[in-house]
Amino acid sequence: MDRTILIRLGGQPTQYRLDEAAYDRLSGYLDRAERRLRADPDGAEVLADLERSVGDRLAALVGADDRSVTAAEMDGILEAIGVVDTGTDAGPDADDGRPRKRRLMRIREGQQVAGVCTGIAAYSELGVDWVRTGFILGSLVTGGILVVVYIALALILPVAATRESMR
Amino acid sequence: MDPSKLSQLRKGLLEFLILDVVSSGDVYVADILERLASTDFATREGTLYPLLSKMRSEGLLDYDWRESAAGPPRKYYRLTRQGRDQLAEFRAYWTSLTELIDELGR
Repeated sequence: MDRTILIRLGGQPTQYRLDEAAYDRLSGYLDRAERRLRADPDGAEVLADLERSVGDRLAALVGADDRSVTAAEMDGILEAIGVVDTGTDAGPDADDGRPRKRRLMRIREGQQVAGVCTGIAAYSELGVDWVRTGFILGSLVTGGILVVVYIALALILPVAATRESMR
Repeated sequence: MDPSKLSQLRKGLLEFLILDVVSSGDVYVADILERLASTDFATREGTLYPLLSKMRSEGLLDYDWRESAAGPPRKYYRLTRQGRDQLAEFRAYWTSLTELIDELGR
């Protein structure tokens, strides 16, 4: 059984029929766009503009056919529209394009002891299993010195609830 | 030359080229995209809409909703007085810049 979903875009009366997967792609795109536009006071209007652009392209694609839009077609449309880029000036909302400064923090999500290893994994972009294995082997080899380091880090580092929230 | 150097320059110039395109008369977004598509400044809605919104909040341009022949109503953009002034300023600056580059390279 396949589900199709009827949607309206950008306040226009026209309805479009999407495969469930196509709908997921579109709502994912719009969610990401909304997050990027959060600092923009006219962000809601830009979102509506983007929705109408999707609508125009859907209308051109489907025409008078009574059929639903596939995920591949939706991918093509979203690729043509492109990711929302607010980093066109040096204004206050232009920090989106630049990599954020990474900080070493403890991360509660997925922690085994105090979240030091999850934090190091997020910071170094290594797998948390590798970090833990390294820590355990290192502790054995150094006769427990790394355990002291761990405790020190657990006391020193600031805490984040999840990997996402550490920004 | 390092391509990223040029891309920074392009990014900064895009706004002025949009002023230029919009100055030619009432245009809507597809017109702007089409005019730029064959140039080095080809862009997409994801970049253009936030930029137009920023330029509008700076008072450089404005739009009217207008019915289109086939589809739904569209936003047609035009320059404000301030936008025209800024474009004139930019053109003058650009001319002096190219003269300067010629002169220094002599």
